[in-house]
Amino acid sequence: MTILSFSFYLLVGISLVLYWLFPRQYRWVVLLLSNGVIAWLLNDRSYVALGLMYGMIIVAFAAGKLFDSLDEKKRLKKFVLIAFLLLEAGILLFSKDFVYYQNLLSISSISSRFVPPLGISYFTLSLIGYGLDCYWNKNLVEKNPFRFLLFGSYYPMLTSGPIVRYREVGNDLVSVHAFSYETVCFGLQRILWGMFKKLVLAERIGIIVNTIYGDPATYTGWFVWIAIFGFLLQLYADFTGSMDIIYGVSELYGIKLPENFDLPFMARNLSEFWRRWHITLGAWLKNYIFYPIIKTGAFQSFSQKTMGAFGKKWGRKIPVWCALFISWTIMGFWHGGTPKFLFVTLWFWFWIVIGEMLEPLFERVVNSLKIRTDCFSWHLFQSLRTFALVSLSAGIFRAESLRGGLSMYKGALISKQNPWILFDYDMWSSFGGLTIGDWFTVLLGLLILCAAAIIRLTTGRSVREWVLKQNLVFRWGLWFFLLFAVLIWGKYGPGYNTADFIYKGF
Amino acid sequence: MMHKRFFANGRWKKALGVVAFIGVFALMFNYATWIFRTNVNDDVVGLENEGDLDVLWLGGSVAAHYFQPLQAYHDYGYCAYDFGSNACRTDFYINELAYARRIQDFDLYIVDLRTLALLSEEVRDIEIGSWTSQLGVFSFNRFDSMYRYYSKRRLEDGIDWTSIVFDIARTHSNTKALADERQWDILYGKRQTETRGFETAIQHTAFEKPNVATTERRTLTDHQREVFTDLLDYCKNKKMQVLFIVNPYIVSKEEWETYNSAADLIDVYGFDYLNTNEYVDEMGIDFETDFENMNHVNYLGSVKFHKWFSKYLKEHYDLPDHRVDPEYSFWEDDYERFKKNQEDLTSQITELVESHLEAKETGLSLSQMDDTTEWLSAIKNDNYTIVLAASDIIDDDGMLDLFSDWEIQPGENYVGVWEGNSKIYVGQSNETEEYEGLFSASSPIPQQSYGAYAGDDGTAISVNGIVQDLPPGQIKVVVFDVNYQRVWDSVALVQENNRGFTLYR
Amino acid sequence: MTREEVNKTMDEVFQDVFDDEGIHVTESTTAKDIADWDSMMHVTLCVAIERKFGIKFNMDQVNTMKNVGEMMDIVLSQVS
Repeated sequence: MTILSFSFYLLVGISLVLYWLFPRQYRWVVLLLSNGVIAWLLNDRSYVALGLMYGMIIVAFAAGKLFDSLDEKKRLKKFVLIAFLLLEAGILLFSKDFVYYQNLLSISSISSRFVPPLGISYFTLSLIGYGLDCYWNKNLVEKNPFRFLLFGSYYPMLTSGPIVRYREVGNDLVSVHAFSYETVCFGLQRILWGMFKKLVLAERIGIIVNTIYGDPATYTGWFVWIAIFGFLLQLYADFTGSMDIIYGVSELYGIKLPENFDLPFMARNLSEFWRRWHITLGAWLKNYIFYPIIKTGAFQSFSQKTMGAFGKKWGRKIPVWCALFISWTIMGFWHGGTPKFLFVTLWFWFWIVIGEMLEPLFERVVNSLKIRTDCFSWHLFQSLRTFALVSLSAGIFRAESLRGGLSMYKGALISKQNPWILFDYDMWSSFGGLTIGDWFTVLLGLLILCAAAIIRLTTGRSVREWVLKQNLVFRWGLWFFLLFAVLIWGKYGPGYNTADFIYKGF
Repeated sequence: MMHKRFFANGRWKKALGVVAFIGVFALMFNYATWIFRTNVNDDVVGLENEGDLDVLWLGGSVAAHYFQPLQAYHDYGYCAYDFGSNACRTDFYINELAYARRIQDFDLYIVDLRTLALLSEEVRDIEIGSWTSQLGVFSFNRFDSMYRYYSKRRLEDGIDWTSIVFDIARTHSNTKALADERQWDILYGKRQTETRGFETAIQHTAFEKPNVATTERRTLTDHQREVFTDLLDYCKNKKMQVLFIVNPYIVSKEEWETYNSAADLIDVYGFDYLNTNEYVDEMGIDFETDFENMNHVNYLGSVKFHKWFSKYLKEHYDLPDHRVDPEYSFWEDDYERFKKNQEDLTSQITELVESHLEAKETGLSLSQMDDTTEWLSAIKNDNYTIVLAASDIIDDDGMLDLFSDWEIQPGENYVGVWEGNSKIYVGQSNETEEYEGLFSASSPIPQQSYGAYAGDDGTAISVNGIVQDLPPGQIKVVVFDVNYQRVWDSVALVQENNRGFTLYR
Repeated sequence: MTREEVNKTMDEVFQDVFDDEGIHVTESTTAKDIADWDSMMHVTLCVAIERKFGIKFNMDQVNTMKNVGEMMDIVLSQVS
């Protein structure tokens, strides 16, 4: 069962009816119980996976309690913290990275029998965050194990996050929710919007990308750029689509989860991009890796030394870059730890550092050429530049391996340049089995995405709120259009295996 | 108190909105589903657009190929309808009847019994898919038919319930359907057949008369008995007049025995039963010329069957004569059009059968021929499948020109399969060449297989697994007649210096 | 130490860290008001404040401080 299957929504429906029929103060208990059933089914009925998930949650809960009671015994507390981190992070790394390194070292297969629970990458980070928060501030410790169990296993978050902080959502999960017609409608609308992005748009763009990636010997030159730009769009529609479904499902229970995206392609540089893309992962890394590292005594004395050697301005930056390097490396390991993923994440580090180093130079160039920087065209240039840099990283992300990805780029640069393919409409009209209708659908889908972004930017509110202000005919017309677009243009059903979400259980 | 709050807060407006939204969605969903349903049978849904009728002929495709309602009206004045749903099995009859009877009542129901022998306990999604998509998306009748189908079968894992209940999940990717004008007719209630469900088959395959008439019984399987008694109970409860019928076809002894057992059961319920295979001689049916395939007569056969059976109906049942009623005069108009059309079709099928008979005569004479050139020109016939294998052929003085139609090149190993002029396969290289396939056949006939091989050690050809091989330097040819499903000749053409090819058998 | 004194010292720290004599912070100043105050400079700033006042921020405080006022609250609670 996945969050795209009919049976999932049937179960969500049953769970919702019970949830809203129960007295307010017991609703979270209904949620906790239905959560167990749905999480089990999402884990393909694996008791091992479910047990491991609950085990990891209980460990985090126990760690919080220990930090509370060991407040005076600093050394013991620190020891408990290290043990907790090693255990939780160890299980995560084992489940994600072990398969790769095991193959590399050709150790006999242990992990083939090991089934990692769905969403382990997401809830483990949330649990580690909770543990560290409790370590730093004992007021954050949760006393009720069942409330904490709901937080750790909340089923909408198992597919692809978000990574959450207990202090932010823990209370909302168990607090008294009054039924609100508008909230439930908003939830349903958001699910529909997510389905549209995933089934209509992402799956179609995926066909183009898969075709090119599937035959790198044939598709060289400009095809490669089409594939990587296409993949970034696919990834966006896919990932945000899954997030929309997740937020929508959660909203049906009246629970709002922190957002993971904020129009990332508006970003003008890579740092900003990561504040708009996969926001909760970036925030987690900042709070629990980057800050703590810089604040360590070792880094502070390192900072003193670099300031002595390079002056105040650069001396301060160097330790920051080092800490960033560690953060991005950890991000690479979180994604899977293979050279490919390390390249993908350190790519960002490299350009961010280069960008900061050359900033004075850029400023001088811009000033001397009298380029206007307070206008649309300059912002557009910056956004396109950011998009291109991100695409280059995403292109490796999509490849089988780092070597495969790099050789594809090499092929794009060295082989004969072929701009004419852009105009070979006969070829595109049957490319990878796509029809003219499919291209039309992709184009329409992208236009709708742009329209939604413009509405958000100009009104400063969510698109759903904007729609609610419209007349009935338009409102219904819009929702019916999306409903039937998903039903008819959606890539689903027997004979079509809808691919999993790219960031599912990453 | 609750209801006061409900009205005071304007919640009733929201509730009404929700109900209206779901209603509009259901309606649009219904339409969308119908437009995507490509296997909707006009013979079935067209019934809704017919006037008053007397006789309903229910069954699978058989119900559409034997009886010509317009001709019957012209000759005897009663109004019949061929209500045939392709691949329909006895399982579905109750729901088909329920559907038809909601539209109108009939004096007589003729029910094709043949599918009873075909019942299987396996779940075949295609069966349930193609039948239930004739029914309303949200109709109880449709859900009932699914229940009836699955409840009597061994369920295995992996049934995709969602896509069976909501069949748009299966069909929506076929957006080509939307570009088909006919698909939209259903929205306007325009789907109808011009022939009251009769379909004309202009194909021909030759058979021999099955001499399997028997009075023995074969016990019905539990599954067959259960499904059939359900049907009989239904017909009895509704007080219907029913004739269970078996039409002429290439019947097997086992099936005939099953019909005999079913007939006993029918007798208990007091319905009528008729196995028309007993009367094929009386009808004048010629098994060599009158069949489309094993299960269906072609147009020539249907004319003979119809003539006999429409008269039988008139004599054995009290059916009204509407020819005197001016309200039915449009039946006569439709008949005129039908007749004109049938004249064309008759000449087409006659021509086709004659060419097949001619090909048979040629085929029979092939084995008497010794001259290579004569033989080679005789086998160039659209009705033959030619399988060839050649290895290491020398092209002296254009000797190979005789084989240019089949693209044989000198020196190389060659295998080729040709249906008349059309190439099924040609493989030609210095490597060993081989190819295997099935002789084409009109669907239900068990298909015969062939194989061709050419390599350094010679050529070989096999038919149904029997291999004949010969050393290099010759061409091996097999001539197969698709209409008769028979090999007419199989020869080796051996190259002899300066004298061309010599034919050996 | 009074709140005013803390505010004045804060100004000095900010001016030093961001290398800009023109910066003057108030209780409600946030990262949005100072161009270079991004997540990378945030910790540098915290450490500079720690040094100046001879106090120690807890990591949780570093993670959650939203504006200068909150910083001053923590400073005051530890120095007095």
